[in-house]
Amino acid sequence: MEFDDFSTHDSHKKPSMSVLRDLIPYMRTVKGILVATMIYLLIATLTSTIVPLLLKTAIDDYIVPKDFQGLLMIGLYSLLLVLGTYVFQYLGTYYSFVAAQKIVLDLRRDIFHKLLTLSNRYLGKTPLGVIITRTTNDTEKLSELMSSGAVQLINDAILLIVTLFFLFSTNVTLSLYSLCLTPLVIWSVVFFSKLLRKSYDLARNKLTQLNINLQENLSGISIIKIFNRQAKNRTYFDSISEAYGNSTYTALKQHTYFNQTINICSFLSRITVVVAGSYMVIKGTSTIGTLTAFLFWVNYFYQPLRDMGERFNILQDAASSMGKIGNILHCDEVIPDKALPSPKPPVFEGKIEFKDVVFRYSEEKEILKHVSFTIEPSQRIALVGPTGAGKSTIMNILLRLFDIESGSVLIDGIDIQSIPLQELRSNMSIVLQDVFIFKGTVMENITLGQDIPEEKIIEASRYLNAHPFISALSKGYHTQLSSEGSNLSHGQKQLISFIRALVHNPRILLLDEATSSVDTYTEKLIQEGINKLMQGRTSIAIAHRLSTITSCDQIFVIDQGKIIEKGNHDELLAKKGFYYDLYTTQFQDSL
Amino acid sequence: MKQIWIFVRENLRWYILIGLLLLIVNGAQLVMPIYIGNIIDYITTNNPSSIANYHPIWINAIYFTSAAFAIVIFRIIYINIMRRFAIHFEHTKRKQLFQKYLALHDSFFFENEIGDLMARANNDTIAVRQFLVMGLLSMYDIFVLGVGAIVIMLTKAPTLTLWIVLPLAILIFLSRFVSKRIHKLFKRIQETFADITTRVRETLVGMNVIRTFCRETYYMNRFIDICSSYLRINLNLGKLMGLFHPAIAMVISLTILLITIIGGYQVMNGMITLGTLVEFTQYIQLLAWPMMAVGFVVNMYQRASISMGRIQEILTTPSADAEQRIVLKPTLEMKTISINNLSFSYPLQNKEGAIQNLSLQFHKGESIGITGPTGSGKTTILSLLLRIWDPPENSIFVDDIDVTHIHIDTLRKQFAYVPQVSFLFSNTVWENLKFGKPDAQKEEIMEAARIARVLEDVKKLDHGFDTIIGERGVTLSGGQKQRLALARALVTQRPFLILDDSLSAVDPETEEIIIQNLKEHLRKSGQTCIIVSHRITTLYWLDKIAVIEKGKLTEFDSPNALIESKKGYFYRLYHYQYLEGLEGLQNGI
Repeated sequence: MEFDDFSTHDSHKKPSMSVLRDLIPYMRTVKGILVATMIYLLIATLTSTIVPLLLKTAIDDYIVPKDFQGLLMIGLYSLLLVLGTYVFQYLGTYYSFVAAQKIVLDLRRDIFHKLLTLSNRYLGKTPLGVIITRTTNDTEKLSELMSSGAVQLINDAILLIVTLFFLFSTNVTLSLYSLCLTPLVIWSVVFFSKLLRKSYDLARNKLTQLNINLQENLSGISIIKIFNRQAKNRTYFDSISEAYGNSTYTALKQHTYFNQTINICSFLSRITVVVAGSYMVIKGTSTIGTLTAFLFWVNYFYQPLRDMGERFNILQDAASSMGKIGNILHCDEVIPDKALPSPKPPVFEGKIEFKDVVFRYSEEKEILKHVSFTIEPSQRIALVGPTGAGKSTIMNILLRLFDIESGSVLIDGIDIQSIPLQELRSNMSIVLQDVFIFKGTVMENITLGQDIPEEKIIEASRYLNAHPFISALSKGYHTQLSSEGSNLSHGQKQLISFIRALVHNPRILLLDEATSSVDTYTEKLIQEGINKLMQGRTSIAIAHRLSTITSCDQIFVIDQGKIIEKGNHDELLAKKGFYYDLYTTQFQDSL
Repeated sequence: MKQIWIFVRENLRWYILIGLLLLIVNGAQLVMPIYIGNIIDYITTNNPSSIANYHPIWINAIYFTSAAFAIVIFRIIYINIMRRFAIHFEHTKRKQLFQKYLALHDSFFFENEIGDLMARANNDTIAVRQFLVMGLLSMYDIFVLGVGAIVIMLTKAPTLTLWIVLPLAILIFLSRFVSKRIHKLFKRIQETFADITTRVRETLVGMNVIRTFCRETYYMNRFIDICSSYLRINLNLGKLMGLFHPAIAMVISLTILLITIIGGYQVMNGMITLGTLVEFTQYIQLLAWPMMAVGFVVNMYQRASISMGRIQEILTTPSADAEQRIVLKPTLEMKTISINNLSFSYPLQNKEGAIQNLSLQFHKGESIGITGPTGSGKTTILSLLLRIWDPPENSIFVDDIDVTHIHIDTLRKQFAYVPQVSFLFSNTVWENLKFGKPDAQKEEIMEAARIARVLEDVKKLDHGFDTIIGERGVTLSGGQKQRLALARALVTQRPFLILDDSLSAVDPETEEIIIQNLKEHLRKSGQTCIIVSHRITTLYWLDKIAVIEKGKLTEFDSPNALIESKKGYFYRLYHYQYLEGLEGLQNGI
């Protein structure tokens, strides 16, 4: 949420209100609540504006003529009105919250759901912070729109109209006198709301900068100290903090100017009412009661005007947020998928074929250039080759994290494009070099919420020699891990990711440099563990350390998007080609 | 809270000025209804049709208008002065906190969450600032405006005053009760909102894991769960706000109603004038604010004093250097580093210590390798040497001086460190590389990038050295980050280079080149060097290898001697990684 304020701060551009159309389906689901809210607020507005009228009646008709009975009666009516106002205002406020929150919940659900189906291409090119902001802050803006923007705007309009009606129906001349400053008020609302919006945006931006800087400094604090950067970083932080202070001061100062402008208008209107009213009372064209009621109504009239600017800002913010959310909701870069025919997906044999596969991540560079190969069920395959040759890409394609440009990929003779994603992926597991640990217990990180018996997990972790370190954690398998997994070493994280892959019972196991941070002895144990657990299943491994793959059934040597050599270790060595060179350099250079 | 009062006392002259301006404003606010009352009395007590002299009306109107302008102008002045001071105080505290964070010992950050430390520097300082403006103003209003209004009303109509003050007093309790709860709810809303953010972030970063394991539904449900609880808390807030805000209006309306009836009765009986009654309806609106303010001020005061306490708690924590009994700033030659019978265990660790009775010596110009199983204590030794964690006294010596006696900056300036997890800042490649040596020349940086074999990678980026990397910029691969971190350390040209398993994500061919470059560089520069690694290819060329197993030093000799001994961890490592490969080679041929 913090990052994107810099890059996507386009709120000053006037967003078209038409994007709010996207909200209509969501509003439809809470139609009843919205209508009820409007009615409640309408009633509350009406009843509250009547009170000064009663005050006028009380003064003119009862207090001045000295009719105490009548005064009590009118008191009783007023009491009912006041209590009624309270009840309806409560209901109106509460239900506007209900409507707003329900809409936001539905919207968040839909965005999140959309994220899960968006292609990796799309996710890869969109900064993380931007997507997070769409799901959190932008939806929050819409909640604000529903609870205090749109609903209140309509309510304010009603209050203005009703007050004007009372003013003019009671005394036209006095109304004109009391409203003579309205143009000034409206001008200052328009002028200041633009100004304030800009300065508050600036202040918020500075606070965001401050937060980012602070967080980065705290995360990298030991690096800062080791490289002796304290003085320099402190100077920079001080300057941001000061800039934030100045921008806050400017915004608040302008706000004070605005408030005081409205205040002086309100004071002057009041005294105008009193003076003009007095003249009219003397001339007999008005009454004391009218004058008193006008003092209240003028206040009622100024309140909505004062808030009008803020309400329009909320509306504009919401429109711009909805526009950005719409970009995600309407995005068509999703992974095409077939519905799952049966609840229990079939189990694969594990035969994999690549036929003339061409793939590229972006326009310019072909990553795979007409790659073809066949892997028989239960074979163990290794992919070897320099960085950037396309090894990981092959795995991404198999899992359909990316789709190919031409050619075909078959599993058990079926094109993977026509296999439902869930079926395809539930038959495979992958272990990556960069492990991701979710916030949660060790157990949750292994099962990922799936029902897997604890014995099975412990069995797998014993095979991988991970059981000793996990059970030594303060709460064993139920120890909480942080999302960065900072309480584990990198090697330990890789072990957890290994267990995760194995307990999900894959027919095809993919290992992408999965043991890079594990010590050699543990790596050996993992190898043996996999051999036992993956008996009769297909596996593909990417390895840099060639000594770990000599026993594989087939080794594919990949360079610049092409398979240049194929065969088992002995065959490839005998060829004295690329593999032979790679292998011998790794060991000859050593000593 | 004492700090706040000290601050007010230090700027007492200004605060007295503010107080005087406030007194004028409050006074003006108090007398304004009187002018309206006077006008109404003037036209009602006389027979309206017989009035020919409009002077008294205009005079009162002019008084009223002057008071209005005085209020507006003086208010702008004092509120801006108060803000200036408050923002200055906020900035000062934040500055002090940041400075303190940089001076605190690393173990402090192990025990405290970053989120909490950030909250202290932002939310807490802001809470204090708000008290310094709104809190102080409200307190003043309560005393001057509240008490003043009551006094004026008492002199005019004592019984009627009672009928105003009693119902409005409900506002005191109402505002106190509700603002406390609203604050609590807001806090929970913020926390839940932060959780939502964390969930989305986690899902996005871990998207491939979720996808490949088909766990979309599970994570979807988890997300909906947290959003639903967010909804529930917000509805609680809605309920509370719905009850509270209209309640203020209701209490005010009821009070108006009450005094209209009672006041009306008194007017009929000639006990008060109609002007006084109209005047009193205006006082109700004036008095409602200080009544509510009592409740708010109590809560605001509590919140600010908690925040101030949290700020002071950090500011009074002793800095890293304060723990040292002797602080020396010697010119270190880094001739020898000796670890002498070192034992260490982390706090909260119940097992046997992380390091046990370990002794080790390095000399200037040597290259040392450290290896051992995952979790055996390799990184711990480096952390103790760099005093990221403080070692016990008399256990680590540099040039025969106990490191715990050396000024921490002096000590650390000797080391160029490449950490296990490469932390780079969201900035340009350029800025990241000269991080440890801001005045580094272009050639030095290019040379370091060349040695770390990252020069070609950087050139391929869209804007070369000016490309922004990190969370707000281009995402780099693990290997690229490690190589940049290595280059950053090399730029500093400090006498002692430390690589903590920092080439693990680099492929062996690139690593081979880096090591060749490093070898040559070390020979030229004469730097001492420690390399932690699991790979035999990274270790074989070093002068000596130390093997750490379960916190103990089990082997320490030249690589050749260790291999020739045909036993032990390093030999096994060699056996697995090299000999088996060699066998593979021979079999193949």
